[in-house]
Amino acid sequence: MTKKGEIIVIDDDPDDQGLLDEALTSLGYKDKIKFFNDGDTALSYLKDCEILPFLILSDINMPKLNGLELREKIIENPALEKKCIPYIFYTTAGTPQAVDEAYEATVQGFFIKPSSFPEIRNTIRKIVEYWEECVSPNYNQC
Amino acid sequence: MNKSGEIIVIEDDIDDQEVLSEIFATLGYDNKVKYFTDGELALEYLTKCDVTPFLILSDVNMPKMTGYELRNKIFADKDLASKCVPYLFFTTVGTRKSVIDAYALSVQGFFVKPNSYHALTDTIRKIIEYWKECAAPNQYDC
Repeated sequence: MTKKGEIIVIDDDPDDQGLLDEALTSLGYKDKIKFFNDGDTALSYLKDCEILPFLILSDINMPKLNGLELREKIIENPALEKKCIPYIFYTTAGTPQAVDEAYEATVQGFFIKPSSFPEIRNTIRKIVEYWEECVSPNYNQC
Repeated sequence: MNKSGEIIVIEDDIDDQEVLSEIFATLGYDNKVKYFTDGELALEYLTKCDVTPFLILSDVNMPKMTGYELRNKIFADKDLASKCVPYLFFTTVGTRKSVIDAYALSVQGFFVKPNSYHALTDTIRKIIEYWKECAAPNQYDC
């Protein structure tokens, strides 16, 4: 995790991507947001040694690789795990099973997408403020 | 994680405990705050079936058991782990290695105690707001 890094957003819904773009831009993260429609392409990008993101905001239900599976793949990959990127679930699908499964793998955050823009912005603000407050390992093994 | 549950603070410095006590009183959340001066006492309490906390805020360097050792014991115990209590490090000093080690374990938060009362209040508020916003897993059954 490096606080100057990108915020990786993995979400297959273009409207939700748009709202996140607006919210993050208004919070000062313009030009630091990278969108992916699915877990596979996100994973390929993350594996690049030079890529050192700040956070991952991930939906759960997505084609090819869902959010829980993607997180598992990151944890299982030693080089990726060392990048220490907080993995935050940001989803409409807050089924009890999904929440339980996420927490069992020590969740770093699980947020249900709010419906109004002010609420979305407020939730995203809490997320970025929390991880900005945390100490960063700034571990670059590249 | 029980959002109405206790906030468990494991901190061997009595002055720091007092400051935190004042801050929690000012912030006015309904969660009770329970203090422990070492990991062994905390572990004994956490093991009780009917104890379902909201969060654990733990120092790193403590007598008898470090914050890392305590965290590992909690996650290694099936019953304790199933309470899904976020374990946050809250410490005066974060050596680079200790921060990297914590993040490699998917740390749920690593905070260095700010010097000013105002900044410390702000940090605590961000921590509480973040986890209050999160979806909580199914209520743990005793």
